[in-house]
Amino acid sequence: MIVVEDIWVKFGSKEVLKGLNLEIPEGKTTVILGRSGIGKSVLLKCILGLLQPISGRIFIDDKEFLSASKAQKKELTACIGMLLQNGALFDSMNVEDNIAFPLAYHKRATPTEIKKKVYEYAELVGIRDSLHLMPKDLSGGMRRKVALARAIMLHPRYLFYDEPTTGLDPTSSAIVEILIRQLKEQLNITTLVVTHDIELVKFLGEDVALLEDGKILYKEAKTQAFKEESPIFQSFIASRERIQREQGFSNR
Amino acid sequence: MKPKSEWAIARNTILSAYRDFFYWLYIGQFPAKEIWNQFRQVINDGWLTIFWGSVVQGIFVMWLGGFYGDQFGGYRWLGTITVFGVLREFSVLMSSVLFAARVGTAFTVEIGSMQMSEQISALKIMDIEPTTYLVIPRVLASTIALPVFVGFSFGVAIISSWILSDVFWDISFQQFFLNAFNYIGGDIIANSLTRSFIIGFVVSLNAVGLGFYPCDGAQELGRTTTKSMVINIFSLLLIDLIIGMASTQISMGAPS
Repeated sequence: MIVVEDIWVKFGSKEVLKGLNLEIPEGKTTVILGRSGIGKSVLLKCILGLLQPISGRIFIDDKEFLSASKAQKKELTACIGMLLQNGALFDSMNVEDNIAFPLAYHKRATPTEIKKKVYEYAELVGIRDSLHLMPKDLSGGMRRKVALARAIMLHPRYLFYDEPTTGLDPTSSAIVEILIRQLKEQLNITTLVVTHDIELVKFLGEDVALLEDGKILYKEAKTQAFKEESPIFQSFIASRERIQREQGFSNR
Repeated sequence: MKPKSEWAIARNTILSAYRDFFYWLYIGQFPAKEIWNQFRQVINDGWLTIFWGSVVQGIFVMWLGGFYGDQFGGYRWLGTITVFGVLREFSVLMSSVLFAARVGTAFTVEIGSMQMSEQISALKIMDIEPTTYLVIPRVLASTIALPVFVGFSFGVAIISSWILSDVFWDISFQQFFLNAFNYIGGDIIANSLTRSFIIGFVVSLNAVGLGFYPCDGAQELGRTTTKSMVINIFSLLLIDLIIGMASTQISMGAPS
């Protein structure tokens, strides 16, 4: 389990996270919903140690992360993988080398084993025929599939997804959504997704949390979050229709 | 709090690159394979630029020597002047400037765009230290590559200047080289190679370090690349001046 306690993050004079608290229970899919630029990616980067909060505590498997030594931090985050926005593939390597890279760099398997594993995961995410391609030749959806295959090469127990469907067409979005769910079920990975895509929340989420004003304002089970009386529904899901109505553009 | 200026941020970025370089060189695994790959890449990227730069440089030095030699009747010294100029100063300076322009700026843009597209974050998530994987190989490869380029430049510049002096002033191979190497010792070549070794290290570490400058977009990356070039030109001139003056004083004594 990952527990985030009273995290504060500031960029210059702008406070992005203001005493955020969150629990990510093991084995579940937690979705953090929030508007663009609200600090969703910042939260993920804090948990991974890519950003240093000004105060607060983060527990990964009951061990305090922020006050840990560099070596301990590496050990704690070794169980976390992440799919970054747009995949963040290494553009000097082809798809096969991109997927193989983490295992090859850490020399955790022989070249034959790595190749076998690359083919296995490429098959799993549906890119078996594209291993020779360079990242520039891939579509947005394909890039994310490759990044997903790369992310699971080190067998993470937790997998974070930063806006996994942003910028994708509905078909590619659906494929990525299904993949995330398949990976969670087949590999039993605890999943944390940050997004503003309601369809993704509907399809994936078990727990839904709303990030607003630098804090998690509400956290509910998905079944609860989509009821009309839910504060999450009211403040995020219904807000689009409310704004349209207020501006006189209601389509109802 | 007063916001920091661009140059202050650039300075801090470079200083932390130096600190991280030595820290990870000491503590991390030695990336021998990546250094070799980068060395081949740097040589591959830079050799043609250095070749043509050296041809032009050889012609330039020979032309000045020949022109003034013609006026003062000093043809027999043309080879000496040219070879001395090339070995002592021009090859180091010209190769370093071209190196900063061709290889240094490429490093800044490459690392900068990796940072913008979150490839650096991806490395960290995979438990790979960017300094070990990206910085150390580029810097050590460049530290070895620049002296190689300077040695290459010596040969190309001297040969091109001799060919042209033969064409313009009808100076034979023997005449050109007769006196040339009588006045030039190994210390001059060693001095030039030492300077290029230090310049290669500083220029590449500045360039790679500036790649980590926090860029938000293409325009800022462009400005950072310009900064990389400006900082590197000043750095290499300063290193060349300081080591050049110090070595001259050591070998010849202080000017009276």
